[in-house]
Amino acid sequence: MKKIILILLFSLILFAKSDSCKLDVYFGNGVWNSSEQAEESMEELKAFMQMNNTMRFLKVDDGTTYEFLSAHNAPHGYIDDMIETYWQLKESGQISQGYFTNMTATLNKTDGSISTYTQRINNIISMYNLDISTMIKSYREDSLNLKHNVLLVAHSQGNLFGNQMYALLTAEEKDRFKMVSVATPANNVTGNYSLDAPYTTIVADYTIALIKNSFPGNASGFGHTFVDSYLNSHITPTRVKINSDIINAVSILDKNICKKEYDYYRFISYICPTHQDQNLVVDIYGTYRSNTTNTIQGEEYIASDVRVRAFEYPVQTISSTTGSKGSGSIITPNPTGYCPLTSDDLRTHVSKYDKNGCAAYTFADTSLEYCSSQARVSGACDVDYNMYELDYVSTNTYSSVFTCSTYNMDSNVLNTLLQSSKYH
Amino acid sequence: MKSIIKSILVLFLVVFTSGCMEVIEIEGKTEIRTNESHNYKAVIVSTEYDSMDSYSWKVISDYKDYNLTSKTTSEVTFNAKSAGDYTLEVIAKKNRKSFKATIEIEVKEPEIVNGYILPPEPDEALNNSTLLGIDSNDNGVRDDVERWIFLEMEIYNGYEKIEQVIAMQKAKGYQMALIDSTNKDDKVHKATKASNECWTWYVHSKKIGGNSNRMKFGRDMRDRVFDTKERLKTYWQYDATLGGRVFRSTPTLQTKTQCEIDIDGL
Repeated sequence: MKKIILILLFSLILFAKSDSCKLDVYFGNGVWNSSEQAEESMEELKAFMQMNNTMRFLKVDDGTTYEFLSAHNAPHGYIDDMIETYWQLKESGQISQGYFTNMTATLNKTDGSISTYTQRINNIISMYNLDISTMIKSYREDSLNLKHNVLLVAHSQGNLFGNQMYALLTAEEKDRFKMVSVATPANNVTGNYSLDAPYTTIVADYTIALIKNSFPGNASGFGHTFVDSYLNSHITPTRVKINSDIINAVSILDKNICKKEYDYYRFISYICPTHQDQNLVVDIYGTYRSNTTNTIQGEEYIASDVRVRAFEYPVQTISSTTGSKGSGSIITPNPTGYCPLTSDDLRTHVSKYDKNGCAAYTFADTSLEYCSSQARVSGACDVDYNMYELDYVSTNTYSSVFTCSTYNMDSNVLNTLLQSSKYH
Repeated sequence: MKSIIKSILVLFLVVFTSGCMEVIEIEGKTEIRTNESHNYKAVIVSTEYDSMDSYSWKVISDYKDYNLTSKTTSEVTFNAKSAGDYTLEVIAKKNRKSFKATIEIEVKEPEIVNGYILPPEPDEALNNSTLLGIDSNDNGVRDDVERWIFLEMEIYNGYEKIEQVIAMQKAKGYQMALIDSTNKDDKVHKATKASNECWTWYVHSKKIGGNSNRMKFGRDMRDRVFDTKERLKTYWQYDATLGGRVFRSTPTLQTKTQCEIDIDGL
């Protein structure tokens, strides 16, 4: 049965592996664009990048090393979209509350469909918050949680959503997120306020020129539309600038794209003298190699998992384990239901992992402890080694003869590990 | 003698007047295409009668390759294989009285463009009086849009047949948006996305790039299909169902599968 699971897991991990070095290119559309228009723009962006960066964006690699997506910023009506834009600018500090109030009050007067100004603004803010939370959820589910790098090419109001979303990302997610701005009404690109930021705005883009404190125009040309005015503009410098920004962003993302493939994982849990609750905190670290020298380059924290220690540890009689794991011992559950740790459980104290006054111990170690690098190369690693590792990472249930615990891994953490495993 | 002449005049007037008073009429199209079947109905227009005892239909024409079904009922179906003039006649009887009506039908050869049989030009007012308009050949594309695609639409990249085929696919998707603006099971979006990606296959396979024709094509199509306030409003209702969603582009080399018709040979 274990072997069947093993085979299934290998298949799963192989599939995951092909996905792990991927760049997801998003197009973030501006105001007053239907989904259809946004998807048309995305297809044109793809064609543009395939044509101008042929080695990185080979058509045959489309869907494997890179993929294009569009997160639809749906229109809410002409005036409401304008008010929403000013709200975003105010929120980012680009315009003052007074300026926002004046502009939106003027816009509100032009359309008497909603009786009170306050009600209208509140409705728009609600819609905006919903849009942001929907978008960030989508980016995470479709890309970031899968350890894909993300390049957002945003047009017009899409930039305001991009900036706001970036601010809400975790530090680790920010490392894998880059944005290239086109016709941006903002005064920054993901917090970069320098005029060297990756943005292109046509000097005669009168939609953007009207936005207070927005980045100044830095490319010749005329108009505001993404494809007609910018991407397929007859003015070469506009296209060159956009392409250059894209290449730079992709280059930075590509540098760390494969770092996240780990040789092995170290699972650290803690014994805290002040309390012995049943929460099992597991910090997971991954060790990675240099892409060029293939030597161990370092270890980094990947994820944490908090689980309740199992009371119902099954009574097992295990005289010994096989393979290179060494001998085990018979585990007898404590009659009180509490599963105490003994010195046998503490395989190694690794002080560098200690935290908050709690002593760290290797909950399990899938490192070379069980299979030396030479053995790995020579094929001397027996099935048990792999099974041990895979059991731990993938079966959702871990039972060790050494540690008195049953560990059901959180499915999101499990997914993270499957995506980043180097050997499988 | 005078009285005899007077009587004859009265009789003549009575006969003449009754001949002018129509009792039945035939309802149906006066201009149809060859091999198209159309229904014709005898309708009582006189208030003196509310029913007839029998009907008898016939076709008067130089051409004999036509079909007329149900010749003894109030409604018949007619189609002709040859283009030309046809007269459809019905004689209805009531209490030993006979009433005759005819209709002239001009049968024309169908309009064929690039091997494609076009539907007839719909009546504009009638077509625009409903959200879905008229789709006489029931192919999922409104007749006026279909005719526009084959007779008037700009050819953007030079491949007329391919662009017309993709336009038909796109128009079907847009018509689906009018039929179901709730986008149930995402069917409408899948259809519109497929037509957009079929264009991707088109420009890839023909090595066309670096222009904005896809955008122009899309704009022109939407302007044509969503050409009334109600239709445009319904389209935006459909679009609102897609807010916040993430759409994944089909890999370039697989976009061929998105074309309803294999465009490579066109």
